[in-house]
Amino acid sequence: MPVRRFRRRYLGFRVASERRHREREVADAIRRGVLRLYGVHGLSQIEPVLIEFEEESQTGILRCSHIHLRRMRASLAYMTDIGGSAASIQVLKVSGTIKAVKSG
Amino acid sequence: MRRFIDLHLRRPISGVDELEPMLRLAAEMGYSGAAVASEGAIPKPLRSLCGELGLDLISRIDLRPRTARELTDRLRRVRRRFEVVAVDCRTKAVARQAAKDHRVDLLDFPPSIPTRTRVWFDRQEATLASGANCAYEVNASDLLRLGPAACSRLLAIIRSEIGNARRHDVPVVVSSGSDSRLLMREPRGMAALLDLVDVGEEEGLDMVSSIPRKMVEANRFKLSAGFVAPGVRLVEGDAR
Repeated sequence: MPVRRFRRRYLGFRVASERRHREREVADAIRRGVLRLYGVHGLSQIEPVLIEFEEESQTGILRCSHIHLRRMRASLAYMTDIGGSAASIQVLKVSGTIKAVKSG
Repeated sequence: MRRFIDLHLRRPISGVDELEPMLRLAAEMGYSGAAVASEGAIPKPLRSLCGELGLDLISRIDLRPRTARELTDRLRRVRRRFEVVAVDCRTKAVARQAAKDHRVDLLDFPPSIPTRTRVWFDRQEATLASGANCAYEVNASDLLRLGPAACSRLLAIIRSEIGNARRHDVPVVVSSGSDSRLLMREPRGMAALLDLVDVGEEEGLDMVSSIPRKMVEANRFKLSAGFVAPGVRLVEGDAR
């Protein structure tokens, strides 16, 4: 019997902040951002996962559920700090594949 | 393709110099136009920068009158100098006067919860705004500056205000209201924030694109030389 695969969305993003952030800090901040806005239930539905983060350029790729892309965007827009310093996350590109996000 | 407009960039406290990176970021984020709230004229270097970036620079003024009389006096002086006129409604009397005045484009309400529970976009305000073609503005930065408890209360108020606006066909505009780069958000992120106040995706995108664009176009037409009255325009060569 065929199993329906969950569709996902990949978001290319950039962190703007007063200082540089580490991958772990960014991953924690994203999870906390979703949790703050949508709670545990929302976090389980949105399923944000930081795929990669370049500390040099402060850019990264994030994965979330295809259905809850808007909620993911709202959580990122609502974030005002990362690791205690003022910061914002700007979404650069959204796609269904990592390859397409990297190409843009 | 949608053309996004951030109708509210505030002058940074640090000075005009900070405006340059803000305008650059707005263009980078995909905005095709941005309004800078300023009492005076926008410096020429910034105007030429916007030209280089392909960003449509819109002049805007935020009025903060204490009385209804002061509002009408100020409107008389500024209406023809700015493309967008917004009124910060701090008292009920000012809010009522602003909502029924055709010269006002945008109604802003205070983010502070104690004040907002007294002065808000209620049904009467929506009825007046509908008649005068005023729009109701939501500033995303108001939400970002508050803590979770206050923010949840403000969201509840904004939700019912948007409900009032919908019932009376009052256009709703979403702007960043930011005075620093860190408070600026990309257009789709700003529209996504409206998920918190039960606004659908397409409706949210309209609030940051077509609604502000139509308002600016209508005002530019009114400020143009040929404009006589709504529906009446002086056509070149026909003037006798």
